[in-house]
Amino acid sequence: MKNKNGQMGKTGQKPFYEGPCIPPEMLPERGVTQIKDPLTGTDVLLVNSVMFTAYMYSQGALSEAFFLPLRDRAVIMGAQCPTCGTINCPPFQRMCPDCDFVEMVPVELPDTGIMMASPPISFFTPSMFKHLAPLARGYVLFGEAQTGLSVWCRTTTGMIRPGIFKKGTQVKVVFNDKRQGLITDICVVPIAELSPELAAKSPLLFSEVNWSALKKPEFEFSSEAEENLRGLFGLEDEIRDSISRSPRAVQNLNGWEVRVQVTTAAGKFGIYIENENIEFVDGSMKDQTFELAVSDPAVFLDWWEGKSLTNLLVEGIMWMSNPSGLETITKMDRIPRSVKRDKEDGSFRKD
Amino acid sequence: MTIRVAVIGAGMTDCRARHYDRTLGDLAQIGTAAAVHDAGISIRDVEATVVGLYNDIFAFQAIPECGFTGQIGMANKPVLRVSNGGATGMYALQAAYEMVASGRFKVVQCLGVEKATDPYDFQSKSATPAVVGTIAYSWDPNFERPLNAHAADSYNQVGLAYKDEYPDDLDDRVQGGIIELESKQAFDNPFAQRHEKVTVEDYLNSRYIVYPSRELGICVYTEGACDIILAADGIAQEICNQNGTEPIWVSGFGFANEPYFPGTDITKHKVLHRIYSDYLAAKQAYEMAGISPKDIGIFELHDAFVFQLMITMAECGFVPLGQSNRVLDLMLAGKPFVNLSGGLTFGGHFVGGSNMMSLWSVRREMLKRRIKFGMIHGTGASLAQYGGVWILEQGERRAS
Repeated sequence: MKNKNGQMGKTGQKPFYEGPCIPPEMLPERGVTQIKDPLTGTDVLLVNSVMFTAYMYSQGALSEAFFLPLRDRAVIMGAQCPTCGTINCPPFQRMCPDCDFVEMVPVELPDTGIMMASPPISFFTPSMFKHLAPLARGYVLFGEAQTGLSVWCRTTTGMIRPGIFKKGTQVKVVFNDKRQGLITDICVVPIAELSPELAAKSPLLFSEVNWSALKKPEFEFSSEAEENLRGLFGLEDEIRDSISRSPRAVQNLNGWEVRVQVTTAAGKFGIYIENENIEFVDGSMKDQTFELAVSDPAVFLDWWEGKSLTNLLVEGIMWMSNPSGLETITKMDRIPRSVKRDKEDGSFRKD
Repeated sequence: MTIRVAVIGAGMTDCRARHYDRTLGDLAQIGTAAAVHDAGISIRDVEATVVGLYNDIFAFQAIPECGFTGQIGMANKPVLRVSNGGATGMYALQAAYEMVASGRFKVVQCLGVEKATDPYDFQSKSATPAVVGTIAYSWDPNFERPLNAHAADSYNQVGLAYKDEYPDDLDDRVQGGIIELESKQAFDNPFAQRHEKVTVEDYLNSRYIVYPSRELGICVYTEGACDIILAADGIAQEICNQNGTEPIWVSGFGFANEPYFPGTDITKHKVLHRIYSDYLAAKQAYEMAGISPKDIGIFELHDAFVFQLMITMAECGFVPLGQSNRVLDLMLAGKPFVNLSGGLTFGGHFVGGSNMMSLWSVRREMLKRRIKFGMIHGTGASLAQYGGVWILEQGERRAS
């Protein structure tokens, strides 16, 4: 999780603000595709394009009020109204509208605070954040501030999960070792996860925190798990056949190719997806894209019945080696519902 | 003195995840034609238009309404575009209302249209991450957007904050029950995007998108249009006499925009566990119409998320805050009927026009079921800070 610059990013990946603003793999080649509208049968042309505007946007007065002190001194700044005493953090306004627009004055705040509320956790994100999911963003009240600063909420115990941060959780700011003057230069961790020495240190730097990863679980062999794994392999033809007959499921997996190694209490097996073709492979898999570990393969039988795999990750029942696997899990979660919907509305091919 | 304003016509396109075969202008034109035909008037009778169109990036064009001004029959007439986040539709309707109530115009149309799912993530080979990212451009670029602020993230922050205050409320099975009911109701909406039976169990089994929201508890992304015709007292009755309907009068409204940044003082900050804008908007509307929530026979509300539907029902006074688990029983009893269109979750959420769809549905049901009072609602902005409510009335007008 930590790189040579002590900046935040997932293991083995560039930190968020390095490299091109738009990753090259997200940029389409020029091209035009002809399709048939699945509803009307009309021939339609789809044109690859972008809405392109680069920016060199100004942080304006927020530079001196917040981002330069953050970068150069590793401090959290607020702004206080000299008349009513209100403290804003972030210092989003230079004048107090409640006191006839009197100029607010800078005030340095402690780097510890409390969560205003339990933060949501994004398992599905906009395009530019896919490589960072799952991630939590919440609001923290620092010192006497009456407004909350939006921050990333991180744990030292692996993947973020519900319940680690709650309303009132005491948190400590962790500063990137190398800061640029961006809100992504900081995150918060629960103070309870830090040693007393680290909790007392200001500023606390990213490289000083032990960001341990969640360990892959190990399972004892179970005959029940073995039976369920046999059941899953017995469903392989039905699953593959159903996907091939379901236009929605075919669309879900269009252009997707992954090799997923799964460890269970019945041993290892692999899931190989290439477009709409899905195969289960017994034993170890070469060139795996990512790895899952779950005690009972019955969860995949439940998946085919419509139960989400994503939720197993959220609930800590299933382990995943790399967050980038979430996109594949999302696509897999869509498939049973797509098949069901196609069967219900008559789109499911009968031939 | 303001002039009474009535809804005298409404028209919809199909709501679809994607209208491959229709441009934005096509949708605008089809919606307009449907509305004027419903009202039994000529487009030449319409003196001005308000367009509710949320997002230029969706449209792949800045000021996209200029492209279809002629197509909707508004050549050389005033066309005002409104964009106000998720509540674009409500604010566009209000702008159209003001045009008529001021006496400036006698017949005005309010067209909501959105072509939302052309954005595409070429890496994921899916539209959704790009559509979600497009909406995320609505967030503050310095403090929030760089941290993955987006619609589901922010609305869930409101839901979680509410849950922090009322841990026993927003029960999962109640949320699932509301989704099941909305899915059934959508089958009576011929334009609904999703005619799909969803059970409580389906809801509970569906994946978390942003914890704690599940996929089946979230509105859909939609392409479509809905057009509403408003007319002034006098001409409204004349038109309705000809088209065989009754005017549906706008008898109350309210609007409020909460500030952007969250804080502790509800008079000057966004307080996370409230949708205070809904409370203020509904309160103003009830006072103006001289009624209370118990008088409302049908309510079409903006259900971006099922938990938000429950909070909005509480903010609008149908149940106390903290007791929104009772909302499902009210809905099942039809006291009031809620989201007979299937709401934005099943009917569709074409942002600029979703609230017009709510009005289309309320008017349809008020006329069909002879309901005296109906209500529509819109919410929007990063943390549900924008709220708007209209109260509609059929028949003899009460004193306002």
